[in-house]
Amino acid sequence: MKAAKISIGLAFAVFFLYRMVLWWIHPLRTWADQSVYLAMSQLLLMGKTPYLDFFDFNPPLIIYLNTVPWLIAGLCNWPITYAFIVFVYLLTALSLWLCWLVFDRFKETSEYKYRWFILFALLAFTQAHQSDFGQREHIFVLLFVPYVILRCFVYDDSGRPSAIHPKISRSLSIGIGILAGLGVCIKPHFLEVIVAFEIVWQLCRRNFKLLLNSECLSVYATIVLYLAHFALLPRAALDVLFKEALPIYTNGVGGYASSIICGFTLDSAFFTPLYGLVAMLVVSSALVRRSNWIPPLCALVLISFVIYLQAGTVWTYRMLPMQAFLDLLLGLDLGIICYVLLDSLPEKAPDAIKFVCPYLLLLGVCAYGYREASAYINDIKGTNKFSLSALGYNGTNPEDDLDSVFYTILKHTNKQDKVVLMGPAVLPGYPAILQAGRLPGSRYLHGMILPMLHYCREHALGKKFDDMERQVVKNYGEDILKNKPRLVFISDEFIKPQIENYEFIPTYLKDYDSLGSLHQVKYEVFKLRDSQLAQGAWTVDKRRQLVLKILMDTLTVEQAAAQSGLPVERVKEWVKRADEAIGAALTDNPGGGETELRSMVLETMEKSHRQEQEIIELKKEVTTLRTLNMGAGKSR
Amino acid sequence: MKKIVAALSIALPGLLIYAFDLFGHQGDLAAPVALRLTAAQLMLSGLTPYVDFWDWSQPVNYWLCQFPYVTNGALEGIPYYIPPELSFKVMLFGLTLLSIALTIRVLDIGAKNLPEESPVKAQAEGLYVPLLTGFIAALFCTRFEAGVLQQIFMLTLMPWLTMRWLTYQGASFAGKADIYLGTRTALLAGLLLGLGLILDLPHLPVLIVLEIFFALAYGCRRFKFDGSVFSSSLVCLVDLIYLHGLPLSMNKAFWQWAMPIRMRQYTRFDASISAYVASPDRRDALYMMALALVVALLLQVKQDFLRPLIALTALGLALYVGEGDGLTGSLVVALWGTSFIVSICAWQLLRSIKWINNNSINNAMVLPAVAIALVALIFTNSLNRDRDVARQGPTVFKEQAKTDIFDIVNNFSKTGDSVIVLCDYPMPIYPLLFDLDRQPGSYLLWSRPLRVLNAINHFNAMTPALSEFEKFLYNRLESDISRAQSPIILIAKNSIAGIVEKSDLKKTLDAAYERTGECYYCSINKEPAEYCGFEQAFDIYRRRAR
Repeated sequence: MKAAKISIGLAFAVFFLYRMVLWWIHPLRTWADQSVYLAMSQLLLMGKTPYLDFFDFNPPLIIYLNTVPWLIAGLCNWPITYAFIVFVYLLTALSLWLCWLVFDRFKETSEYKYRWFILFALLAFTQAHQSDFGQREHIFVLLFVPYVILRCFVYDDSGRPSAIHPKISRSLSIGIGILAGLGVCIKPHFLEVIVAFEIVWQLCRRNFKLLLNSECLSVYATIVLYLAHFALLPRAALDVLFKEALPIYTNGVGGYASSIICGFTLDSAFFTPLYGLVAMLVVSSALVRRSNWIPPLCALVLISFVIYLQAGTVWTYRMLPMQAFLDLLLGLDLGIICYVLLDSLPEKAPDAIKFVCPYLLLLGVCAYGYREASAYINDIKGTNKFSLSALGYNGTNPEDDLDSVFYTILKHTNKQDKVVLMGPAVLPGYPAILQAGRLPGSRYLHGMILPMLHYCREHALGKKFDDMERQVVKNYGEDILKNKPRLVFISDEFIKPQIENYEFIPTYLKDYDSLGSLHQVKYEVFKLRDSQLAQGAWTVDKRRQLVLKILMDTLTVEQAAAQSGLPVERVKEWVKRADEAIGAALTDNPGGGETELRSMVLETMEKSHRQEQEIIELKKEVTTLRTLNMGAGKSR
Repeated sequence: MKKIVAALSIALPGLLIYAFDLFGHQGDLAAPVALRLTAAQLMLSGLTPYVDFWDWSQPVNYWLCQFPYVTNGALEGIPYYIPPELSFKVMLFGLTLLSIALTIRVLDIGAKNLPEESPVKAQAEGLYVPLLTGFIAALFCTRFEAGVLQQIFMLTLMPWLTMRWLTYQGASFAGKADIYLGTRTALLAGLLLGLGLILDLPHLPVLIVLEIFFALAYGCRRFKFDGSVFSSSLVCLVDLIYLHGLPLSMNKAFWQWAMPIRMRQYTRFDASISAYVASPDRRDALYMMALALVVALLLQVKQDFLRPLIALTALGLALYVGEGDGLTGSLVVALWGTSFIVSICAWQLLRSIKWINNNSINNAMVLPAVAIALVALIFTNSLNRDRDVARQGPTVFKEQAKTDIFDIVNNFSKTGDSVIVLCDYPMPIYPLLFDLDRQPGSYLLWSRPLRVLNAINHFNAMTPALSEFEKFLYNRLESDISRAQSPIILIAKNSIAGIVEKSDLKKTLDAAYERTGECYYCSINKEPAEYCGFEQAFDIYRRRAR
């Protein structure tokens, strides 16, 4: 029995950990929404105020939650993208552990025997996702699921004629309630989920007293506290959130809407969960008499389905709650079916199967984990790797994970530089800017506000949105003038036509040169002229201080470049000029430094001439070799 | 028999109102229905399906749709012409009456046969009125889709579903003398179901999943091979033999040209309907479905028949997703399931009101009949409002100086003329051509193969059979266009015009026809005139003077 428990526990651990191999070899891998909220959290930690210093449409809780990965990154010196993955895994572990603790309190119930099915199903939900890993909906599910398990037990227990009434520690209930409350506060419509869940259970049990349990009170308190915290935000920030962000989003998100059938059938990421919904409804309606949990869990699935429909946009992450609750239901249904089959077998067979299954499970999971981990490693064999030392970290990341915007940023900016990307979506600005370790140069970390305003102006009445668009474009311009971002990317297709009406480029990008278009992503790239950079930041005094440190061997050139955020070549050039100037000043040559310099020039010219001769000789050799090669080819 | 008469009496007001609405409006056949009637007429004139005209319906549909025309032929001596539309509606109404009567009959036999100690006996006996109300609600909900395959399937499925549920509760539909043949009721229910199964490809998987549901819910040991299983299997077998025994050219065209295109509907998404306005927005129906499912899950303890209805409604959602066009016609099974669930739940809630005596609902006829009539009237009002809103569609477009496709076909062709309309959805073409008595002028009754084959080429996924079909298709179209028998050709801009432009058809088209302008399928994309595609504009080509 103990060995069986250990086997199952090991299998769970392997299933939990195998995917870390993927993230370990792709430490920079992240996605648009997740990275933009990490960037906002960074700004928050730098003392910036949400909505005032940086703009977003969403309520701020996700920004607060995303400060934790920064703490992890700081402690462990990891790239923030990797620290975020670790954060989500820690949250997953916490969520599963809390579920486990709840199950442990209700050992006498029939649902207890399905615990491993449910826990594995929940873990599978987290492991199944990549591009939506760590999305707001994912975090909501992780925070909310322990509450679901607890409430299912509590309600179910209250309906039994001989109720078990196990003791749940108050701290556990409160902790679970707080987490659920936090999850619900991430987005307003998550409230519909918890309300629907409670209503369905209430219709089953009609026990209003259960709404006053510790976990519920914690949820209410968390929601109230969160709403109350808005009073602490500056009035100006609240004005931006409620008078700008909310109306623009409400009226403008229609520009991103798609047909309902598109949201069902665009590709397998959409129709697979829907067919899963159908399958679960069929199976659950068949098994509904075997567990009282089924109707409320189906209600969770269906309310999540309704929320997905309400959104009207075809974004996969909006399906995450539905998928999570489907997995929860799947675990329960699978457990019921397995035990029904076991009970239908001859007497000794169930014991034999129960004996063998844990070991088979461990074997299966290990084989699966090994296969997957090997596949992750094989996928990157022979591919080019990007060295993280360019970002100040150890390790590498496959180059393919990183896009042209990332490489452009790395090539043309230094660590302290800021970047602005004006595009119709969060991509491609984020994750590239975050991955490159740069800061945003505008309060608008992404340009979605512009196409939304365009849509608002076309569909809503009144001048309100005309004025807003004018103001937003002006804000962008003022941010560029003030922060002097090194690079400005502007979407050719979607944004340029819109801002041309305001003569944006001639007005605000006067000090920028166009580097041309990034064809892969259809963005024109503007770079701040160097003189602007040098003039603003590096006075002669500052340069002297830096160069003296190098000449006195306090710092190496590389160290100085990294600290100052300047290119190494620039620093080397300054050091060389300074060295030469000192040499010339200290020489006893009667001609003074000038003569010395002239002889140095002559020397350099001679050296250059010699090198040119060498190049000519080498070219002749190459021509001869080619001729010989061609002759050999013909004779064959 | 008494029960059937009583049931039909209760449902009579609702049925009469439905019949009044069904027969009182002409020219409102659903597009797929009009298309199949057109195909049946072509078949009667000697053309071979899939070889002389293309559609992807199962052959049995064309046989059934011939009845309206055959009826007129039978009445040759009598100076009375029954329009095919009217004949079809009469057939449909007859099928509806048969379905209702058979369901009540099944319920009657099953409820009596249930063991006394069965907890479901009382539930079964309380199902008469809810099922009748459900039928009326479902008929009205899908009034604009009257006669589409999913609706016919539901009419054939309901008696069987009721019987299967009762069988799994312990009722027996096997006759005393011979357990394999069973009662006439079981045989008839099976025959009807068999007919529904062979109408379209996804119907059989729905049945299989429902059987799996029953086995899972009530135990495999309760499965009974009664008369319905026998007769439905027989019908399917006969159809399979028929399909394999099709004449050679038709056999090849059906299996290698029509069915692959049909199957691709389930595997590829049409990107032209990704925009918000490009496909009907039926979130209202889906919200209702979600709410009904939750309520059903809560009330299934009091009425077990809700469980198979939950499964059926979920399968209806799967069909909607699978068809991938977003049209209400693809949501009919889900709507019927929802209607029955809502009806049963509503009556269940009414029972809980103390002043309504439980028994009085079943034994008295007045209250249920009045309730059903009220439901019917409310729906009729809603339908008339939808019709009024739909009429505004053309007005709005006229204000934008956009010409309606109806006006173009009506003004530039005469009765009996052939008209070529190339559009990859049937809605703009049917029932327009059917109502105006124009013949389809090309091999393609609707042009789905053009878009699908274009996509297959784009993804380099062409098979030898489809390549042959593509060649045949373009040759036929070229021949159809070059003969210049149609005074006008209309080509859908958003999906087909580009394909024609890139192909050799353009030269042939320009030689025989001249582009003279544009017209529109003027609709606001709600029932009864739904469409798919971002903008339903058509290029008008008029035949050059000879």
